[in-house]
Amino acid sequence: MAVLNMRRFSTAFQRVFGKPTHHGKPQPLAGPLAWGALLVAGLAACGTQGDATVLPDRWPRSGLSGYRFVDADVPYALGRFGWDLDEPTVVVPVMPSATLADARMQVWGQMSPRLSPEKTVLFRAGLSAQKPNAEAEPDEVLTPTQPWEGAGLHSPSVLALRDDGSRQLLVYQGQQGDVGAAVVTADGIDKRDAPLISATTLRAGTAGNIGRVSAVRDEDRVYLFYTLGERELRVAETEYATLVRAADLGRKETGELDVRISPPLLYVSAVGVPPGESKAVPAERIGHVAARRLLTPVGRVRWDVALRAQAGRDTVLVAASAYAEGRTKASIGPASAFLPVEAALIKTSEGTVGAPSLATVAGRSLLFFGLRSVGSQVAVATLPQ
Amino acid sequence: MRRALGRMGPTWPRLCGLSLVLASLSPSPAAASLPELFGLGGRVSAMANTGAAYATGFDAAYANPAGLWQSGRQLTLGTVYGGYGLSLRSPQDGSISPHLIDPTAGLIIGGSFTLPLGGVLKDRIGTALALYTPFGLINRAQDPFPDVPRAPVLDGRSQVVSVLLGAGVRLPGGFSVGGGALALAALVGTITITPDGSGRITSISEQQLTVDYAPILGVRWQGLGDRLALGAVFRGASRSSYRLTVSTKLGDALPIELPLIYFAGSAQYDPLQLGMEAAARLRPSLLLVAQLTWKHWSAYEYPVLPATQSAAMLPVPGFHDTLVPRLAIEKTLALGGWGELSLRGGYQFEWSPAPDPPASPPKPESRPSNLHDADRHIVSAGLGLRFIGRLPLTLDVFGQGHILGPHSTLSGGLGVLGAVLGYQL
Amino acid sequence: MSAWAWLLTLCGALLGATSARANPVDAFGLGARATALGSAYSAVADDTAAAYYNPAGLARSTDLRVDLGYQLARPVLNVSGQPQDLMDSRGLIFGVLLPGRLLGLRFAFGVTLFLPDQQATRIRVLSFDRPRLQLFENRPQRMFFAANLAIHIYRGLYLGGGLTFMSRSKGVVYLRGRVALSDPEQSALESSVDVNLLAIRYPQVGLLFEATKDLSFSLVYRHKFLLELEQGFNIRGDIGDEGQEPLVKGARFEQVAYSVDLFQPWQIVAGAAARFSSVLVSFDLTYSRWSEQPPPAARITLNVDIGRFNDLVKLVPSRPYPDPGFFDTLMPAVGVEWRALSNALSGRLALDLRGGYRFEPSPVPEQDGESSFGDSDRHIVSLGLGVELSRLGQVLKKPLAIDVFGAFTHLPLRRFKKLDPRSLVGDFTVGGQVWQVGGQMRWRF
Repeated sequence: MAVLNMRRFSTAFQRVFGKPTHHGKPQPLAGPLAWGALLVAGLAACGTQGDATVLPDRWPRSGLSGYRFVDADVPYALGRFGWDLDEPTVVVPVMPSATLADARMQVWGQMSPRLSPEKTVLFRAGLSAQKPNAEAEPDEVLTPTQPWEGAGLHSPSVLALRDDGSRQLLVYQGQQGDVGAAVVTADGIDKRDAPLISATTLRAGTAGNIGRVSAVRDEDRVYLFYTLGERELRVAETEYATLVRAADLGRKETGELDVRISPPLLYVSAVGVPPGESKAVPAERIGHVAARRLLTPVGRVRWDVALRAQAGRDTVLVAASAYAEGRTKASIGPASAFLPVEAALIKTSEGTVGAPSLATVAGRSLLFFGLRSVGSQVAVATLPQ
Repeated sequence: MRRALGRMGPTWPRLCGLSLVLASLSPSPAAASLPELFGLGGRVSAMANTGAAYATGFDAAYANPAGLWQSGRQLTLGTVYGGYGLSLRSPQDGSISPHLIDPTAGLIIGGSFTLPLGGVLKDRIGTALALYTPFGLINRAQDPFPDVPRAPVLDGRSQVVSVLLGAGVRLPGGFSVGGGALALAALVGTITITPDGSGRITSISEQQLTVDYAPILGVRWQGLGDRLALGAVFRGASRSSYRLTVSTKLGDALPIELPLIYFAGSAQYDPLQLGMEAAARLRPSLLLVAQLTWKHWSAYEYPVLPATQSAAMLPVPGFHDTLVPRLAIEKTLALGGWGELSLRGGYQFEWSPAPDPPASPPKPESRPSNLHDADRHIVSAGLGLRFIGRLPLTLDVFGQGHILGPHSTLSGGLGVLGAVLGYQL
Repeated sequence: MSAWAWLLTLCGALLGATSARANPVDAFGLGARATALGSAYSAVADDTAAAYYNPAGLARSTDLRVDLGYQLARPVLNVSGQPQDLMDSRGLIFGVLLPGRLLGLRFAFGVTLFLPDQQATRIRVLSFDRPRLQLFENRPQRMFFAANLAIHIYRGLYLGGGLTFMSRSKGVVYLRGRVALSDPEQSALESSVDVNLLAIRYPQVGLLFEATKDLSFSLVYRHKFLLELEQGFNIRGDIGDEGQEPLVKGARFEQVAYSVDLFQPWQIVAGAAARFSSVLVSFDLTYSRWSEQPPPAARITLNVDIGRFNDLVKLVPSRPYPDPGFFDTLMPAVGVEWRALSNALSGRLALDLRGGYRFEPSPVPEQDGESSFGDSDRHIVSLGLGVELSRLGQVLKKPLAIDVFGAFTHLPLRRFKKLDPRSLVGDFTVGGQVWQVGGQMRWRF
C-alpha cells in the first residue's frame, strides 16, 4: 500500500469544511471537523502530520546595511542605450499606497551620453515598488540653459509642494556645484534663472569642492546635505518657506538664499573601507551623499545619509545615521554628528558603485545606486526578508 | 488479566493441524521491525512475536487491536536490551570484519483499559496506549555513504520511538474488531547558512518535528467455548522520514557557490504486512499458536535520496515480499492460591527480503547495492508470573536468539532480553 | 512504604519514557474549564488538565476519566503597524486518568496530550539580530504530552509528579564528491547522515491540600527546559566542472551550528480555591524564572579549505551573543465559577458559568541594543460555559461534562527604542490581540 500523505487528506477536508487561509491551512472551524474525520480516516490510511512551510518574515525594517539585489539576474532598474546613468533620487508619494502592488515611485537622476560624459542632463522615470528592477528607460527632463549651470546638471532632489505630487520643487546642481531650483508641475518645469545657493557659500570659506547636494525637508526647514572637499559631511540649513518663496518668485529673481552652514557632521576618517571588516582602512574620500528623514514607529525622527566611500581601489556604499536632536538657536542641521554604519549598504562585485539613494516604499526598503561595468546604469537592491 | 482463550473442543486438532500445514507451505518468513523486531510486550516476545489471536493487554495495540476489549485496566512498564554480533565479508577481498550495530536498550510502557460502560456496551470497548522508547533517544537517522555495507533490516531499527494507540470492540458471534495507529517521529525543514546583518556567519533554520502514522487493523474470532481463536491483523507501511534542505547563501564571502543540498530519506521503515493466526487451548493450561505473516518488502526503496540534483544514481535494493511462519506455546502452572506461572516458547523464521548476493545495478552508472541481509532463525522463551490477591502484579521475562542463516556476506546473530511488569488497577 | 517506593519508581520510569514537547499550554492554557477560569486552576484541578496545572489533582478522582477536546488560539499581532504572519496554535486535547489502589493507597495515573494539527513541533532559529516575537513564534507550536502519577497521602493531602518530554537534534551530515564551479546545481555529492533526535525530560511536581471540603491550597513546581540544536555538515571533495580536471582537490567545508531554540523557565505556582455555596473562586500566582533565558541564536563554527581560493574567503566568524537580560515575572490569575442551574430537567442538567482574568507581564526588557525581541504585557479575559448531563441511561452511568470557552488577550502597544540610530532593525512597536476558543467533553466512568 502506498503511503498516503495526511496533507492530501487535509486539503480534501479544507475543500469540504472550510476555505484555506493564506497558509494553505484550514480555517479554525474546519479544524475540529477535519480532525474528527481524520481520526476515522486515519485508521484506514498512513499519513504524515506536518510540512516544512517556512514562516514569512513580515517585520518592517529600515536597515542600513545588508542590501541585496532585488534579482541578481536582473539587477537594473533604469538604463538607456548609449547613456550613463547615476545619482538616482527616489521620490515617494506623500500619500502612500496601501499595498506594494499599488505603490509607484518616481526616480530622478542624471545621465550623460557615453561619449560626452560632461554633458549631464536630468532624467525622470516611473517605477513600481513591487518590481523595481524593470530595466526601464528614463525620460530626459532638464538640460543646462543658464551660464552658471555650465555644461551639465546633476544631483536632483525633489521636495513636494503639494501632497498629491502635482507640484514639486526640484533642487539640483550645476557643473561647478552651485545649487539651483525649479518648480515641477504637470505642465512642465519652470526653472529659476539664477542659482539658489552658490558654491562659494557652501564652501564656507574653504577651498574644497562641493559634492552631490541632497535636499530634505524637516517640517519648517530644509536641510541640504553635501560633502565638502570629499572629506567631511556638512548641512546647509534654511527655512522651508523662504526656499519656496525664492523658487516661486520667478525666473528673474537673482538674490541668493540665506543659509547657515553646519560644522562637519562626519569626517572621512570615521568611515572604514570595507566597513566593518578586519582589514578595513580609513576612507580617503567620501561623496555622493543622499539623505532621508525617517519617522520611526515610536514617533521620533532619524536621519540617514547614504554615501560612497573610497580607499585605494576599493569603493563602497555606506550609510551613517543620527537621531534628530532638539533644536537650539546655535544648532545647525538635524544632529551634531552622524555615526557611520560598520557594514556596507551592499556588497557587490558586479561593477563599480556610484551614487546611492535610500527609500522605503509600501514597507519595502529599497536602495537605488549607480553601477558601472561597461556603462553605468541604476541598479536596485532591497533588504532580504 | 483475563485469559484470552478458554477450554477447547474436540475440533482443535484439525484446525491446529491446518494452521501448521499452512505455515510449513510458506517458502520462508521475513523480519519484523523496530519494537516488533523483538515483539512488544513480555508475553508476545516470548511467544515468537505472535498474539494476533490471543493478546489482550497493551501488547494487543500492535499484535491485534481487536483484542483490546478484553484488556481490563492495567499499567505496564518494561525494559528491553539487545546485543548484536554480526560480521560482514567483503565482496572484494573476502576479508571478514565485524558489522557494528548499537545495542538495543529502551523502555516499554503500556496502559490499557476496558471502558466501564453499561447497558449494551458493557465490556465491549477497550483501548490501549503502548510506547517503546530507546533510552535518551527519539529518533536516529544513520545512513552511511552508498558504498559502505549496511544491514538495513537490523541497523538502528530499535533506535526510534514508537507510539501506538489502539481500540477494540466486541461484536456479536464471538467476533471482535480493532484499529489503531503506529506513530513515528519525522523531521522536515530548511537550514540557511548566511551572514547576519553585521556580516558574520550565522544560520537560520525552520524545522518541524512531525509525525508519520501507519494504521493497524485487526479482526478476531473466538469460539468453541473459547478454546479456539483466529485472528488477522493488517499493518500499513510505517516510515520515519527526514527531509532537510540546506542552502548556503554566503555571497561574496566565499568564492565558490555551494549547491542546494538535500538530506532526505527514511530513518526507519516497516513494510506493509498482513498476519493470520490461530490459537488453540488444548488443555486449560496449554496454549498453542501458529501464525503466518506476509510482508510487502518489495515496496522498500533505498533509504537515502540523492543529496544534489546531479548526484550519482543510488543503489536499487531489489527486495522481494516475504512470508514469516511463527509457532508458539504457553504452559500455565498454578502456584497454590497466590499466583500462576507460565512457561513460554516459540520459533519463527524470518525470510530475508534482500537478494543474495545484493542486487546488481540496473544501469551501468548506478552503484551496486550495499544492502545486506540474511535469513534468521529466531528462538524465543520466557516466563510469566501472575500474582493473585492484594498485589495484582504480573511479571513477564523473555529472551530471543536470532541466528543468521547461510549468506554470502553477512553472518552471526543477535539476542535480546526483556522484562515487563504489569499492575492491574 | 515499600509500595510507595514501588510507586515512585514506577512513576519515575513512566515519566522518563513519555514523549512530550514544550509548552503551548503555558501560553494559552489547557482544557476548556481551566482556560475559562483564567488558568487559575492549580487548586481546582481534578481532571486530566491536572497533568499541567497540578499533577496532585489527579488523585482526587476515583473515576476513570477520558477528556477529549479541541482548542484554538489565533494571535493577531502587529509590529510597527505591520500585521505579523503568526501561526495559530490549535489542536486536539486528549487525556486519560486511571485511578487505582495499591495496598490501600489511592493513586492515579494520567496522560495528557495536546497535539497541534499543523505539526508536532516547530523549531525556528534566527540570527541574533533578526527581530522576532519571542514568545509567540515557536512557543505555541509544540506538542505537549505529560505523564503523571499522583497519590492521596493523608486526609486531603495529595502529591503528584511527572515528566514532560521534548526532543533536541544533534548530528552531522557528511558529503563527498564534486562541487561544480560554473553551475553549483551540477555538483555531484553523496551524503552520509548521522543525526539523532534526543529526548529531553523535565519534571513537574505538585502538592494539593484540601483544608476543608470547600477550601483547597496548592503548590506546584515546573522545571525548566532548554531545547538545544547541534547540527553540522561536512563537505569533502573536489572543486571543478564535470569532465574537467578539478581546480582544487580535497577541498573542505565544515560547519557546525549550535543554537538554543526554545526555553521554558522554571515556575512555582501557589494557588487557592474556595467554594461559597454555588460559587467557586480560585486564585493562582505564578513565578517564572525568565532571567535564565539564554541567547536564542545560532553560533556557527566554520572551517573552509578551498586550496588556491583560500585568499578570497572573507568569512567573518561567528561570535558569542550577549545575555538577553529577560526579567523574572509574577503572574496573577483569578477564576470564578457559578453553578447557575444545579438540578434542572429533573436533576439531569447542571449549568456552570465561568469567568477568569490573568495578567502576564512581559519578561522581555527594553530592546535598545542589538537584539529585537518583540513582546508586550498580556491581559487575558476568559469566559466559559459548562453543562453537566446526568442520568444518560445504562450506557453512561456517570455525568458527562461539556465545556466551551472563549478568551481574549490584549497586548497594549509597547514601544521599543534603539540607542544606536544605526540599528539594523530600528525602533519598533508591538501590540495586538489573541483570540481563543475551545470545547471539551469530559467523561467519567
